[in-house]
Amino acid sequence: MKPAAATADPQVSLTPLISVRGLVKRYGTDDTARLVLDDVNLEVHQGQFLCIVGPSGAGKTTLLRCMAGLLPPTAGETVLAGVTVTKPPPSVALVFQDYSRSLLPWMSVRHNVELPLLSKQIPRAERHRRSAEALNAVGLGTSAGRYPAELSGGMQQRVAIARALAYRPAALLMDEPFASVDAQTRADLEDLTLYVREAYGMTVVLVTHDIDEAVYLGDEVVVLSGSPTRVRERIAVPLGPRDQLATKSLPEFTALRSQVLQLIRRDRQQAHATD
Amino acid sequence: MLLLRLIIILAAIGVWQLVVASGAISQDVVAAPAAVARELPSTLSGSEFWSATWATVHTWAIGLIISMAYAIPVGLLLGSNDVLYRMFRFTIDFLRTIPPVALIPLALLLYGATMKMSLLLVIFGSTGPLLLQSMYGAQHVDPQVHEFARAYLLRRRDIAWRVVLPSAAPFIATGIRISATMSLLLAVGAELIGGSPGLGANITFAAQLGDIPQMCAYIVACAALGATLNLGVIALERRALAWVPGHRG
Amino acid sequence: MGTRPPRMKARVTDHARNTTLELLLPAILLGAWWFVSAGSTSQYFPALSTILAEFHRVWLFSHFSSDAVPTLEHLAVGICVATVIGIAVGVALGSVALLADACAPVLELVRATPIVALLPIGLLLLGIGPRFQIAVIVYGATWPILLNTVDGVRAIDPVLRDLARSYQVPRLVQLFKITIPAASPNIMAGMRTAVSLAVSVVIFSELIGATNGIGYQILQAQHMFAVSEVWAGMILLGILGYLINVLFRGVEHLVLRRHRGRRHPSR
Repeated sequence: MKPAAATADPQVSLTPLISVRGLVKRYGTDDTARLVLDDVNLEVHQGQFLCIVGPSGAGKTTLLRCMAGLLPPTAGETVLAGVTVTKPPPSVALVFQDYSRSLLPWMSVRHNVELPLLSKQIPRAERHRRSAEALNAVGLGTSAGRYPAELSGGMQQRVAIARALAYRPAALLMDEPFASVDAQTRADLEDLTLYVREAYGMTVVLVTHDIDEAVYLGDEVVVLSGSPTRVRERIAVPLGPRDQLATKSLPEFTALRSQVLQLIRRDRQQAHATD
Repeated sequence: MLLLRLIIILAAIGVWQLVVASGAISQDVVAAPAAVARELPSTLSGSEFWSATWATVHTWAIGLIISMAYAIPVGLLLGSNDVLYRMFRFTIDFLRTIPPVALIPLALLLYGATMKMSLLLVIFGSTGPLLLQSMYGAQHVDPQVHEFARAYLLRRRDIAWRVVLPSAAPFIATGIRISATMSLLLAVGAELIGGSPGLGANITFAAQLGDIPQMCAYIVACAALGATLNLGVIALERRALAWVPGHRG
Repeated sequence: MGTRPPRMKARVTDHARNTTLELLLPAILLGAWWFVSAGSTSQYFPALSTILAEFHRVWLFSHFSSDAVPTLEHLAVGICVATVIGIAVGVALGSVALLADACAPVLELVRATPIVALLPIGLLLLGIGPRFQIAVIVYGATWPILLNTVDGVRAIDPVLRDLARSYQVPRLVQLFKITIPAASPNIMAGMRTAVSLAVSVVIFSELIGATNGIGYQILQAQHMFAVSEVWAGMILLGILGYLINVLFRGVEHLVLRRHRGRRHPSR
């Protein structure tokens, strides 16, 4: 099922949904300490699609995990809907990079999708309804009774997305979710994400190392510097409704893409220079 | 970490002491660690103890070596030949699940309370794991390595020694480790139940005499022996298999 | 019946050939045993025909309910209790990495102690009878299950832990739907060891402290020098041991149906 292309520039409110302020993360406490995040600040608004890119080793995953409440920061904070994040908040859903490891192989697809709903004390009938709806939305309506091992990589990632959707989070955090699939599947999944964001009015924060993907998907691209990481630049992406062929042949797309690439390259050169 | 481990060890001994001292478990059943500790010097200085230990170790070692001598080659052979494997599979499967302890009454009838009896049991019990693991090992030779050997027209003998045996070595090592544990269990068990010379027999004698501290001293000795032999086998294994890539160092 | 397609025909004959091959050796061995021992006057190696006659007399079915059944019952109860304790404590220990590491030396020492050496203590404590049997089985079977469960829980993919935390999965659900299933290949490996150990240990316990049971029965026969009966008992143990093993493998296959492709480590 190919979802229709989504519109960009949805209604964004003025108060940010997620606010990251002065986030610092250091691993270790002695001379072996490694400073990964150094004073990261960013804002995500309701309904926005934010893509985060950066050179490898830039602590993108660390940043996302701090935002998701899985990792306590050394300093600074993340504020979600006015509440400081100290542990995983119930209004955030995470989609992991390695979907095959995050799906439970001993449970059917439907049960995998329904698993997070158990925390919200939702009665069984409602759980069924939600999981069916979410699986339909990702195009896997007929696969509910199958098991993850029977599905292809792309389908497994769809299940992971459906799982996040059924959870009805306010924000969807995705950690390089399409890194492990082939190009065609990646294109399908990217469009699926746009569709789902539109259909559910969700806020999405997507971390990726793929610049094309970041510019294609995001309303805004945040470029991180190399380690120790901070926000290099925020680039708005006013490209209108997305289409894999049309959008990527726009001159504006190429321009934005180069802009991001330049920033990352410069950073890498500086890093090499200071070595 | 070391500190924490020490604390737990001391705590375990402490609980033991407490349980016995408070009378929760009577002194006629288990001796307190203090009593055992007091008993140990006299036990350890007696020749009785060392001859018993030697008897047990002797039975264990000889039994294991005899088993290895035939079980490993046979296992490798069966594992390398598909027809043979299928012929023997059911039989070995069946014989393997016979609890070795079932042999004790017959062994007692045959040999009485002698070391031969315990030896018989050890050999019977340790064959299974060795045979099985050697078979697995021979079956899991990397087919590409096998192809290479045949392509270069290596002789059958060379293939066996230089390809199959080294490939199967980690499996054989696991088999030896399992057999070693089982062999000690059976040696002590045979001595305990059958009365053949060894630590197991001394445990029974002490229990019958009502000398609980000494009984516990011998039990502790068994535990120590078990741990020592285990460590010894593992150390040997590590040395022998150092060349295996990815072998848990 | 019409003609089968050639490929299927080949598979059926293949299967038949394999089964024949497998049963060939036991048949030969049994036949050889029968004939070699036929006229036996040896005290300790009676004729197979005599042994089988004894087997029929004792175990089919006069002593079956009075001796074989109690042994099997004790075995079943002991293994079930051991499984519950082993998994419960194993999960608890495995979930707190620090604790598992700290307890390691003590656990290893207890594991290395031959269980038979502890039987006299158990006997003194509990006296002769079913309590002793079951206690011994529980003690013996718990350790492999416990240790393997600890291994399994510690090896659980950290992604699953992140999953449970970020989706706020309730503790109990996490335990039964994530932790235990994830550790089940290890748990089953532990149970495999535990089951065969339990069979050994129950017989041991019956040889020194029982009033009924298969081991007890064999012991009586040995005391009375009824050699054929001793052999018959051994055959029964062989058959039961094999059947229990087959049963367990079936259970293991069922439980691990959805875990195909995962490592099956063993201790």
